[in-house]
Amino acid sequence: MKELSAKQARKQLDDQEIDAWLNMNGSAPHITLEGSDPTANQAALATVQKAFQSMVPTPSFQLKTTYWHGSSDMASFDYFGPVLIGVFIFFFVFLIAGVSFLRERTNGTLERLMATPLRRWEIVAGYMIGFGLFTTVQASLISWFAIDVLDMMMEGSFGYVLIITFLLAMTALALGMLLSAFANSELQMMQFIPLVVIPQVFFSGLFNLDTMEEWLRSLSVVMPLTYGANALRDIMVRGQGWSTIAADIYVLLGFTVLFMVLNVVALKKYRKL
Amino acid sequence: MRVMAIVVRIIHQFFRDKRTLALMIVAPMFVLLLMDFVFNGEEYTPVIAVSDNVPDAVVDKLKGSGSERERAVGKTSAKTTGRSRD
Repeated sequence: MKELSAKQARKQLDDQEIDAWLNMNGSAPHITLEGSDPTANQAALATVQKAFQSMVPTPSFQLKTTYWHGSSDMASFDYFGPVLIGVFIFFFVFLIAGVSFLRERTNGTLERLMATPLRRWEIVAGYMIGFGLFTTVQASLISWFAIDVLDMMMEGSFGYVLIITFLLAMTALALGMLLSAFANSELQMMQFIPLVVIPQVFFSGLFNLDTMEEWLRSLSVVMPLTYGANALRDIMVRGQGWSTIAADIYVLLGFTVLFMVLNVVALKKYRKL
Repeated sequence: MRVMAIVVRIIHQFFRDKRTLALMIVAPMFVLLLMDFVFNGEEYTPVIAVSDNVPDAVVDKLKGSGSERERAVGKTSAKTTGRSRD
C-alpha cells in the first residue's frame, strides 16, 4: 500500500511496481489496474471491493475501473502466451543445436575440421550462422503461427517480436552448442534439459515470482529466457517499443557472445596437438 | 571465406535430413496449438446450489452475476440451481 500522486502512479504502473492505483473522483472511487496479468487484476479488484463492503455504513458506490494495459476480457492465455512462445523457441532450438553439434563430435567430423587450418572461432561462427538460418526460420514461424493463426493478443509491432525471438534462438543455439561439449551422447544431451531448460521455464515469468524469497527470485537474473520472455510480454501485452526492450536485447546479445566465447574455449579440449 | 564453407555444409546437411526439418517446423506448432486448446476455453462458471430458504431476490442476483444457472426443484424440500451433476 503506497500513497502516490497521479504522476508517480502512472510511472509506477509503467514500471509494474504497483498492480493498481485507487483515487477518488469526487465521491466515486476510481481504480486503475496495471492490467497485463488477469490474476493480479482480479486480486486487486477483489481487495478493493472487499474493503469498501466492510465499511460501516456501506457506501453505495459504483467502482469505476480503468485498464492501464490490456482489457477486462483478456484471457490468462494472453498473459502466458508471449512467455510460451519464448519457452518453445528456446527449448526446440537448444535441443537441435545441442544434438547436432554433439553429433559432429561423435561422428568424427569435428576432429577432421580441427585438423584443417580452420580456427576454432571460425568453426563456432560457421555453426552459429548455419544453424542460425534454420532456427531463425523456425522461430519466425512459431511467432507467426502463435500471433496470426492462434490470434494471440498483440499490441506491439511484429518486427520487435521477430528481433527478440531471433536473439532468443541465437542464445539457445550458443548455449546448446556449448553444453554439447560436456555431453558424451545424445541421451546425455537430453538429460541436460531438466537441468538447463526447465528451471528457466519456472523462472521466466510464467508463474508469479513475487511471493517467493528475494534471494531465490534473483536466480532468474542468470537465465536468458527471463529477458526474452519479459521483452516478448512487454511487446505483445503492453505494446511497448524499443526503449523498453533495449535492455533485454543487450542482455540477450551478451549471453550469446559469452556462450560463443566459452564454446571456443571448450573446443580447445578437442584440438589434437 | 572459410566460415562460409562450414555454413554451406550445414545447410546441405539439413536439407538431406527432410524428416528432422519437418519435425523442427511441425512439433512446436503442434504444441502451441495444444496450449491454445487447453487455455483458451470459455471462462469458468461456478455451479452453485441454493437451498429452499434462500430468498428469490438473492437467487436472481446470483443468476444476474453472469454464471450459468438453471433452477431445478427436487422432490425433497431442497431446490438446486445449476447444471445438475449426476
